[in-house]
Amino acid sequence: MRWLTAVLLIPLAALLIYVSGDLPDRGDPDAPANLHISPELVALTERDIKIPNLVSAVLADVRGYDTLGETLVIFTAGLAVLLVLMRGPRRADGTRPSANTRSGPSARSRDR
Amino acid sequence: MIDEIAARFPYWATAVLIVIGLYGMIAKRSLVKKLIGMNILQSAIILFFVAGSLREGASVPILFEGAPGARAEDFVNPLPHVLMLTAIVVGVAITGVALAFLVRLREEFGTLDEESLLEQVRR
Amino acid sequence: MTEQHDSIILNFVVRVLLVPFIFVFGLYVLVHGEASPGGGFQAGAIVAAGLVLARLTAGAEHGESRLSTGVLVWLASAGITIYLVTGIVPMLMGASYLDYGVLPLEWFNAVAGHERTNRAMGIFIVEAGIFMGVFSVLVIMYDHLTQRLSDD
Repeated sequence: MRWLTAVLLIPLAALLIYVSGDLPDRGDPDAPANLHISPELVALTERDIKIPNLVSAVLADVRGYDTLGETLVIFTAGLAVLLVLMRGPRRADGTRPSANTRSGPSARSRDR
Repeated sequence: MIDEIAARFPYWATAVLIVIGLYGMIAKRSLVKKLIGMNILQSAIILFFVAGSLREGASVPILFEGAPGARAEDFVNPLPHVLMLTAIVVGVAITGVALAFLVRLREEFGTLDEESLLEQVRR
Repeated sequence: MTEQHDSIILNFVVRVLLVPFIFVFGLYVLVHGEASPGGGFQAGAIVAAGLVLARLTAGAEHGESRLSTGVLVWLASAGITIYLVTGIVPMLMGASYLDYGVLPLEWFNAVAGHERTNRAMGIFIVEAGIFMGVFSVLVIMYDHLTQRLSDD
């Protein structure tokens, strides 16, 4: 299994390194990814938002929907961890292994 | 030769990291090691994006005081930085959920070895 | 894994020197996220790391009594709600969702004595919401994963 995986993956590495010859040079100012939207973002930040940090401006304003989605993903992940780990097997004395459910919503759900 | 290496090494590092991550996800039997492989693969993607945002002679994406008429060529491309910033945090969330599943799996089956898990599930 | 350590040096260094510094630095990263590298995601990660460090040395039981899971869930929900409400308020003012330019925040410039655009203040409010969400979720994950593992 390991040999088969290695035999399959080494050509993949060679292929990736080979096609990297077609990618733009590191730090190339004329790379296609650097030409398209970056000037608009800089102009927009300077004209409308007027804060120095371009990354914050793009993160919270220009791509506000995107960041809202990411925040919801993180929140959902936290709830998923809570839900997965709160329903465990009961011990003999009827308590759950997790002693973490002391107060708040988690304590109420423990009593169900 | 040196110039060629300097122009290409982020891509080569990305390729090597992708392959290491895939090897970990495919060949390792422990589910924890598969998860670590997934994280290495994610690091490769982050490295690729951040390396792609670089401009020769450009500065950090902070507009300095008293410099009106800033030109885009003076700053690295901020968009990949934004994307990778959120991708890193979402990667942490994914890792947390995966670890929670692994904890439950180990409680239920007593092992995190792929083969014995599959054996127990088939039975 | 999360039992209390008795070393007085460790407790002093962590609880008096390191953790307050990490908290203050995290809040600095949050409020200076517009002017220097930083923002809600980074500040949330830094402050969560400080709290995890405190819990590693003080013991999970002690740390839990200060900031329980219930409080953290409320905090994360409050962060998300701040974000969503900041998006809805511009809709009530007649603009589109998450268009901070029309937020009714002009009075804040007079109070605080600085010149900021509405968009900059909207960005700060949103970053504060992100900070609360990320911080709470990271601490929730740490708490539950370690407690479950140390019970084995």
